[in-house]
Amino acid sequence: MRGNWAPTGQGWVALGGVVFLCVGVAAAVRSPAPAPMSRDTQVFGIRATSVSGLYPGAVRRSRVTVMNPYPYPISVRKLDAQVDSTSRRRCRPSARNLRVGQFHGQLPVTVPARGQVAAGEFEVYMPGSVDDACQRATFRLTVSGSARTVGR
Amino acid sequence: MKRRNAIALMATIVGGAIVAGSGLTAWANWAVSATPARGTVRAEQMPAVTNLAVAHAGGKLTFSWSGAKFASGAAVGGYRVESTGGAVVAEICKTTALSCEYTPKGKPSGTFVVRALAGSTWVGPASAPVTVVPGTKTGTGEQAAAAQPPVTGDVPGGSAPQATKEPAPATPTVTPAGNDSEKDSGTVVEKTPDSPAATPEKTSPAPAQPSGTAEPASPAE
Repeated sequence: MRGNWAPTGQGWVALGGVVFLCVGVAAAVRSPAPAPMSRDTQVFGIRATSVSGLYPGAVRRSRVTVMNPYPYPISVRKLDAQVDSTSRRRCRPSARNLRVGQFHGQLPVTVPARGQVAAGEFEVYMPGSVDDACQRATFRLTVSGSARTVGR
Repeated sequence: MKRRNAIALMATIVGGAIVAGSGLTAWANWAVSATPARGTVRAEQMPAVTNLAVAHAGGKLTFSWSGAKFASGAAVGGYRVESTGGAVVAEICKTTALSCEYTPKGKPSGTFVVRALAGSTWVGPASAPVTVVPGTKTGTGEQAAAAQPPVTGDVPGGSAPQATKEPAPATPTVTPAGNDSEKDSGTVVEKTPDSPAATPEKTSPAPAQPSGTAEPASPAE
């Protein structure tokens, strides 16, 4: 009975399951998941300095620092900033009132394991058309970015 | 033999899968996104203009004031002198300099303030008002005006003007300029008190929008 054993249909299914299991185990063994996990998305940290003293026509810069919580380096490929909200209802978070200009910095930038790097600066410009209601307003910027692991 | 082949095949597949899986993982780059960070940008506030002064010579009013700066030290974009008469606010002049001239059609009179400007919409608070009042026939007003320098609208460190120089004769007897030519000769330049009690008629107690006791400085002749 067992002399000429060959995988039947069920056998092939079982074989496929074993293969997938092996692949998964191998991947898990070789690539341990980073410690700080958010759901199934890995994250790194960004910090943007606050800017003050803006008036019509003024340009300021917000310095961006990226922090790598992982035990391996990451390469930050992209950083974005946008005006999110303001502290005054009649001062809308629009390009008429505040603009985030170009990013001054070299991307991609490599952040060492568990280290941090000053990635560059975002230019913030208050146009002359800014509403009078924006006097003393605080604009909130949201800075986001993406990166990839390096050498893994 | 077949069994041996099957086992060998299975071992090859499993081994290959392990090698391939681990190798692919090792070569892969994990995409990492960032937790969005918050930054804040704080806008300035328009400063008030200080030391507004009005000089009257030859039927012409010359306004001057001290330069205003933002808290960060940047200069404002310009200035606007306004004539305030009750609810009516008229622009007298607009400039980037620290002075401007104005020649009214009639005899010079009125209450004036200056505001700082920036961009196309930012307007600062009004300076302390300065009132130009036509003098009286008695000559005291004329002498006072001739003898004394222009009066500034506010003092350093405070926005409340001091008492008037010639309270009795020069106060808000705002006469229609065109029908009292005798009073043209004497003009008193004086501060306008913020207190409503000092300006009995047509005054508003609101300090931010001081309403003048005189009509806008463009009376019909």
